[in-house]
Amino acid sequence: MSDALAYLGLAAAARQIRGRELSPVELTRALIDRIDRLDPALNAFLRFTPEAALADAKAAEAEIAAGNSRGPMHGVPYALKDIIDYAGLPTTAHSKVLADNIAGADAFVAARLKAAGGVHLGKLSTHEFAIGGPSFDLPWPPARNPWNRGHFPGGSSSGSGAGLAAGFFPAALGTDTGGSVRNPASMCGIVGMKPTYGRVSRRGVVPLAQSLDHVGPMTRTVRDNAMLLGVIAGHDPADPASADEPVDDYLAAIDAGVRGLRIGALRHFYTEDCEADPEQQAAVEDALGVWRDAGAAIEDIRLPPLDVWNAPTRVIIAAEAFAVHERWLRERPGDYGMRGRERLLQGALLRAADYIQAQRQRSQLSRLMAEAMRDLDALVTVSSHDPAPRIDDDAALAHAYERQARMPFNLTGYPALVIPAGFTRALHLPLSMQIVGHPFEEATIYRIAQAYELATGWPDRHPPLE
Amino acid sequence: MNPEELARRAAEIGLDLTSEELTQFVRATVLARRLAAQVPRDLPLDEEPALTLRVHRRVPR
Repeated sequence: MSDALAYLGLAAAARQIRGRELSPVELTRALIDRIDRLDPALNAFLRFTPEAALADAKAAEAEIAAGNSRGPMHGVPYALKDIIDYAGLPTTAHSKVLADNIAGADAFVAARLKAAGGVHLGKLSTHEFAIGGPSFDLPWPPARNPWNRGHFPGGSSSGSGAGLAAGFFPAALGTDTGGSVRNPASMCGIVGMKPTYGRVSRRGVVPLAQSLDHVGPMTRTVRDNAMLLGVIAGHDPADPASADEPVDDYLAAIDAGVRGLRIGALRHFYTEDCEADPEQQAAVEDALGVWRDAGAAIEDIRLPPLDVWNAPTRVIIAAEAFAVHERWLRERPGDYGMRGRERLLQGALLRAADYIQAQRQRSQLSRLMAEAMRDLDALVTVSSHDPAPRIDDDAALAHAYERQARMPFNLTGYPALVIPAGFTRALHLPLSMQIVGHPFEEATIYRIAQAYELATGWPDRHPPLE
Repeated sequence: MNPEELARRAAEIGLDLTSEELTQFVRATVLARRLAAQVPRDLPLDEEPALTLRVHRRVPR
């Protein structure tokens, strides 16, 4: 199969399918063949369902031929992180604990994709319960990074990031509690959005820490990401955090450029608080230059140091996650992998006051974020401070785990998009950056990201897999 | 709290752990306490916890 079909994006596939230039069955067969050949070395899938996918593709083709198009996802293959329910399939959360957990109903987002005519290819690798990984002591192996399979693909939405970079599908969903959509986006060189808290329903998704959990779209291009968010965003009364806010047209102004926009450069997160890899720093500086040249105003902004945001976020994750897992940790601690168990046990002896103080600090920090962004349209900072470490180097993994700037936007609920920003010289591993917007203003983030992507063309680079 | 005390506390809250798991529990607890110690205790009295995070669309400027 040519790279052209493997790396055909959602927008392009939708256009060709609608114009009857491309058959959903042909596209699905091509991707199935590629997954069959290449996934044994990458482990993006926990459960690959090619027969069901072909049946969905045939149904989509027949409907489209009859003139009944359901929109941009119709006939387009996608896959789900395996903490998202898809009726009739196991939702394992990559854990022995839930190995036999068959979903009785679709998650809200799976139902949206199904209604839109998407072709579901299967369930994707994660870290155990979206927190314990990468791990080699679970029933399934961890996903590998397609840019170099000796390296970490990021997590916890590891299979989503790896599968997109490998050309297995043009669209996937991940989840993000402390950065789990954006970390694999950074490590695999793809596009990952953590939308505003409440923008996308979490109904039918295995929780990690409910007051921080988000579901987000993952794609290879900014435009595709905007299209996918448009499909899954919306109010769901069954999710108590779901926002009853109108869903914007994320494509309406995506090509409007950045002239006149005010972008805050949040440099101290990666130059003072935690010094990022020099190539990663330079990539963000280059991007700021691209936007400045395109007519945006770039202004330095300051927030409290990164640690001040990360500490309460980690206390909240530890406390809420332990509450979710308490019974299983008591009854079957041996069924967890080593990394998941250790991270989940962090909440066991936290006091109620620790948790409440962290939530009080969260209120204070949310106000500071709003004040800092009042006169800005967006801010830009790093996502990961380093390129992907080796997956078999525990010390490097532990080092990289701490060095990230994603948690402030889980804590405050602000939308944050990670996009590719080049490659390291020595190992040709992806570099990235993060664009953060005002609540429910994902459209502005996409507009800023699109201007950079069009200027640089990073999504046209693909890993050498064959 | 020393490791013996932590092991006793683990048993008290119903965690029946092997020795390797207990070692992990001690490590996890030390880390959690270090994180919790970074959270300020002197916030203004009217600072309410964001137990249910509510974020709002801004008023256009």
